[in-house]
Parts: sequence; structure tokens; C-alpha cells
Amino acid sequence: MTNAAPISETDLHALVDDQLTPERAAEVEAWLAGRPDKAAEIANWRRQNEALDALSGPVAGDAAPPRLDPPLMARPPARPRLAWPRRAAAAVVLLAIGGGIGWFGRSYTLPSSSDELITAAIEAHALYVREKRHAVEVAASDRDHLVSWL
Amino acid sequence: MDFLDEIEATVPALRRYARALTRNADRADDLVQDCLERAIRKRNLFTPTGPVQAWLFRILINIWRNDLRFERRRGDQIPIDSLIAEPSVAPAQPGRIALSEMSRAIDRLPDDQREALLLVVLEGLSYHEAASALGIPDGTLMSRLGRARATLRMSTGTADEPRLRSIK
Repeated sequence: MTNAAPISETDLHALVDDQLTPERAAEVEAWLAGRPDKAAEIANWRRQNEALDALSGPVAGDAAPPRLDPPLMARPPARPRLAWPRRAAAAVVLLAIGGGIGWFGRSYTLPSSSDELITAAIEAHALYVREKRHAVEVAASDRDHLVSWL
Repeated sequence: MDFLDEIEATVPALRRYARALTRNADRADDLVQDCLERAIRKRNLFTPTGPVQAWLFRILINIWRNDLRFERRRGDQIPIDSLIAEPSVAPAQPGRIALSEMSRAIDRLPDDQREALLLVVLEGLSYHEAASALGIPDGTLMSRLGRARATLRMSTGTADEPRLRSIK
């Protein structure tokens, strides 16, 4: 004890932080035994450490999310190669959907046959209703009428 | 051990430290992500003289300081929750520090002291490693540690030291 190195402030911190060899720690403890005021300060430091550990304890347990996984973060260039079968599959699915919509939906864009019939009937009606005499039965004597109609 | 494996092994410690610095889990993980990205990008700059751990802490602390500087230029932003004053509660057990009180006292510490204290106490870095992570001489680390502990003792310790009072 008598030939031990003098106790420094760093020794006191190191005692609290478990950074001393067991022999040196025993020397520091023995030194503290004769100094109650210092011992009280060191005891407070220890309680600070306990409180700090307690404050951070619960959050340290959960697993890191994938975005904090270094091996995963280090290989973004490898990703496109992994992804190409997915892209091909997506292309096939999109083509199939497009084809299906085209096949089953064409009746919505093409005019239907009944529409055409109705249009033709309306045109015919519009043409003949104006004609007092029947247009198909104009006699050769009705030359003036025929010329003006043509 | 592979470089990436070594980084991966440090992730829990980095997250814990980041949470203690930021007091916000999401923000802490953002900080750790920035740190890991920078470490992976600059891995050739790492000289394998010291432990990877201290190097990573150094990167993390630098990013954190930059964030703080940026925020301070923008003006203080504090979460609305912290505006509500918590009633101070007496310590549950004599001789123990109330955690809420401790948490507030740590928040009030100057940044450099808080960084040093958390590296040593929470992460168990040796004084030399902690000093190199902070980019300061060992002696400076010790004085920051000493000031941090003295301040915390003042703000949390006086009421619950039965031994000290019996001496007086």
C-alpha cells in the first residue's frame, strides 16, 4: 500500500467504469475507505452509471431493421440482376391484362351493327320524306321535276 | 472477421448510443443509417490501426454534430410533448436516482460532455478509444467526463445521499 502510485482523478473514474486491474481497483478502494466525502462522490457516480444503463436498457434489445443491415446495404449493385425475373413476370402480366381488355372491350369502341341499321334507316327516312312524289317513280313526262331534283 | 461483419456487430451499440443522443428512436435509426452508409462508402479510408467501433462512433458523432449545427441555424425545434411539464416525482428508492430526473439532467449537459459520458458509460469504450472516437486528447476526455459527472451529481445527487448527510 505504501509504495502504491498516488491515486488520481482518472483512477477514480476508472474505478467506476471498471477500467482498472483488480489490484489497482483494490488500492483505490482502500484509499477511498479513509475519505468518506470522496467515497460518497464515487457512490453517486456509480448510481449515475446505473441510471444511465437503466435509461437505455429496454431500447437496446430489439432487432435492427433491414435498412440498418450493413451486408445488405453494401450490395445494391447486385439487386438489378436479382430483379430481372420479376420484371419479366410483370411484363407478361401487364401484356395479358392489356390483351384481355382489348379482346373483351372492343365492342365498346366499335359501332355495333344495330347502330348502323338505325343510322341507315334515319338517312333513308330523311331522304324520302321530303319528296312528295315518289322518287323512284318519276315519269319521263315529268322532265322539269326530274331535272330540278337531280 | 470481415469488415462488414465487424460493422454489423457494432450496430446495436450504435443504435443505443444514437438513441441516447437523440432521445428519439426513429431519428436515432436515421442517424445510424447515415453513419453506416458513410462507413461503407468510405471503407477504404479506414486504417486498421484501431478498432472499427471507435471509427464508427466518430462518423456517427460527426454526422450528429452537423445535424445539430444545421438545426441550430434553422432555430430550435422541440417536440410538443416536451413542452408539457412533468410533475417531479420523488425517487422510488432511497439511494437511487429517479430516472426521469436523470434523463432531464443528461439533456441539460453540454453536447461535448454528454457525448463523452455516454461513450464511456453506455458503450464501455476505454478512455483512449472514446477520446479517439471524439477526436480529442485523452486528458480532454477525462476533464469532460469529470465535469459531466460533477454536473449530474449537482442536479440529481444531493437529495438522495444518505451517507453524505449522516457525515455532516
